[in-house]
Amino acid sequence: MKAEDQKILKASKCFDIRFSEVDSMKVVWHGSYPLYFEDAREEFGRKYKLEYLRIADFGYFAPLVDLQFHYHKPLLYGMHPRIDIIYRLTEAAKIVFDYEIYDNDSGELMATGRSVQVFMDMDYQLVWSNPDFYQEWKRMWNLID
Amino acid sequence: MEELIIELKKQIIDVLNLEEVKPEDIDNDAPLFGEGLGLDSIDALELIVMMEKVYGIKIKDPSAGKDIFKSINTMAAFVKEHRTK
Repeated sequence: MKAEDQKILKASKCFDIRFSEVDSMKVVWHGSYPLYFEDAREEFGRKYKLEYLRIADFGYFAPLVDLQFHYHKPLLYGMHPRIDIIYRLTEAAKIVFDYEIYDNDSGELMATGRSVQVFMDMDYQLVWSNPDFYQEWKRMWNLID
Repeated sequence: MEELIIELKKQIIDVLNLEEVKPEDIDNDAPLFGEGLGLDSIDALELIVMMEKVYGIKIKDPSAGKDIFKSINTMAAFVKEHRTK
């Protein structure tokens, strides 16, 4: 499959900043961002049928093993941010997402990040190769032949 | 065999982005995981892809995989015997 034929899977979610997410510097605390990423993953899962519960129905967990954040500009209470989540295809048995958080009013890029998830079976053992359902999922979205 | 060993080391450095490691830094008998080279089980996922792509070897069983990826020497011996590419 040629790279340009490959479909980009992307979901977006607008969200409000909770008062409790802001720290003493009056900016969104760095530790609030993982929850925004998680909300974005759930939004992606709903849109593209890759929900945590669906993964569990097939007999797998998908724990995070790597999370990266780059804080470009501070998010402030009262802003109207939007988070974009973009699926990155990898051959290894992983689920990789990139994230971009924008201030929806100015269009400015505020933060970016990446997450890596792997598959575990219900005995909490790492799964070495792509589960069948996951390969099927990639085929469904024309990511692989 | 020596050629294959150097090739394997280069492949490992490449797929795991071990920018500061040179092939000659990796001891042929040292454990790849844990103490030796310090790889972890998540790194193994990339090695599995490399084994299939480069040598046409599918590793499905994690317990077998642990023996194969013990060291460069065990990897090279397995590749030599089972490669289809």
